[in-house]
Amino acid sequence: MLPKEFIRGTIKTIILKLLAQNKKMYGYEITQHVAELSQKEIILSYGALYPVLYKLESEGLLITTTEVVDNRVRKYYALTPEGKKVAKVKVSELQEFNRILSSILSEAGPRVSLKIL
Amino acid sequence: MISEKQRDIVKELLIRQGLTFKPLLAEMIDHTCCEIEEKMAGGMSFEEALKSTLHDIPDDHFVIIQRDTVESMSKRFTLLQWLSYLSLGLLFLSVVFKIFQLQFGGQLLLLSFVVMAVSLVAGSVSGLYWNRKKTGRFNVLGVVLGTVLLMIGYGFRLLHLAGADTVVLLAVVVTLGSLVSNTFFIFRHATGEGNLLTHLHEKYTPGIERFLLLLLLPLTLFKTISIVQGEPRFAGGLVLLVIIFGAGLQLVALLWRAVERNAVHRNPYVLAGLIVSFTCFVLVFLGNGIPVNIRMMMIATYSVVSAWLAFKMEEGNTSVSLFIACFVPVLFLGWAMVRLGVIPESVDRFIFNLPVLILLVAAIFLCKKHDTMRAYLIVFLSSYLFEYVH
Repeated sequence: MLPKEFIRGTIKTIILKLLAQNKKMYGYEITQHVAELSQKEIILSYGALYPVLYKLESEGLLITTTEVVDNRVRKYYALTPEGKKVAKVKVSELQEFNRILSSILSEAGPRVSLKIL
Repeated sequence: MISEKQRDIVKELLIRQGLTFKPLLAEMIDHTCCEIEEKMAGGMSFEEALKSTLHDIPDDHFVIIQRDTVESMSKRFTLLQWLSYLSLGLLFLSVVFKIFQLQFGGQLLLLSFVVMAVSLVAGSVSGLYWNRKKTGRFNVLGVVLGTVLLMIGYGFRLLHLAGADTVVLLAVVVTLGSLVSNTFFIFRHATGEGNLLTHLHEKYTPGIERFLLLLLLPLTLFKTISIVQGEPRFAGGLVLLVIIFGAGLQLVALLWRAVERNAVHRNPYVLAGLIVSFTCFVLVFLGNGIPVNIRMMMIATYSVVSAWLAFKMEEGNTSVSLFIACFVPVLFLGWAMVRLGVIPESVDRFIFNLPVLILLVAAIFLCKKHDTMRAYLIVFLSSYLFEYVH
């Protein structure tokens, strides 16, 4: 499993990306999807997932609906139009960062420069 | 699939671990149950799956999640919180000014109404904006418009302006219309999914209750001091009306949410009870527009019907809830009968006295975990203080 500090900064983007691909998802479904896609390298704990979901909702990036499933309330999350825009931006930012990081860490040395430096 | 009883075991465990924020609690129950179900599908018994699921969760984990979650949401409410506390402060100041018979007490009260109205409108507009896909916008707007109109109407009365009664009548009609409309919406839609009014209420519930209690408890203290000192005048009458109206709407919203959560409550008796209860409650605010005897009967009816509803909707109701659900209606039926001349006026001293007042205050603290019963008590403690003439 990957160290927590690697995951922490990317949870928001992972959630936005997943919700961009799926119309609506509930908390447990998100953790299962992430575990499956990462071949169990990333396991989202309750503590990592829910504060981020609530924050995204309070920022207006997610919209929620509830349904009663198997005698219990299930809350589904979906992207708002604003959330869809932010998801695209965040994913491309992370991809760019990933590309730069790979370049830095590759044996050939860095081929690109980080604009923020 | 795990049974309802097993779900309740999970719920109890999570509550015992300190989860009190209801939207998060509901999600944690679902998440934990999903994990348990997955393990049970692999051949474990419910007990084994539950033990295994909770085994790896550290102590205080849920409390920390709750804290992080609430903190992550808090930024959005800052402006609204400021506005609410400003109106709260102004309301207090107006009472203090009235007690010391200073100038501008009335103006301060009006200003607090204006700030409260701005806070209400701002909260609902932002709620409408962020939840555009949910249905029931007109019900939210109706309740907010009704409340604002009522504040304007009472403001007009305070300033002895013409048209006060018309504005109050309009406020009552608009509020009643939106309450009826949202009640039928909840009964028509099996899960209450997408209902904006209850969705927003769920988010603002802790703030609403804090606001009401922060107003009510000092007023109770003021009133108690004035009773002990034999001071017949009480300056907080209008503020008590604000609390009664706020807590009454809070109670209706909590009852709606209970109906949404549990299909058992979606029956004609509860529907009729809800309509009778909020109709009696809202119409009383017409004041002299309705003969005083009829108003008293409406208050007595409201005390009985809403006690039944509040008790019925409680999850895991206790003997304290049962006591309140019986005691308060008896108190208000007695009050109505004294005022209507059915029973002698001397009975009044058995109804209005300090031990009963203390009992009602204590009950509010004892009902900490019983939302509907607590809202019911806030309505009736405020009404009790309002009617306590010594």
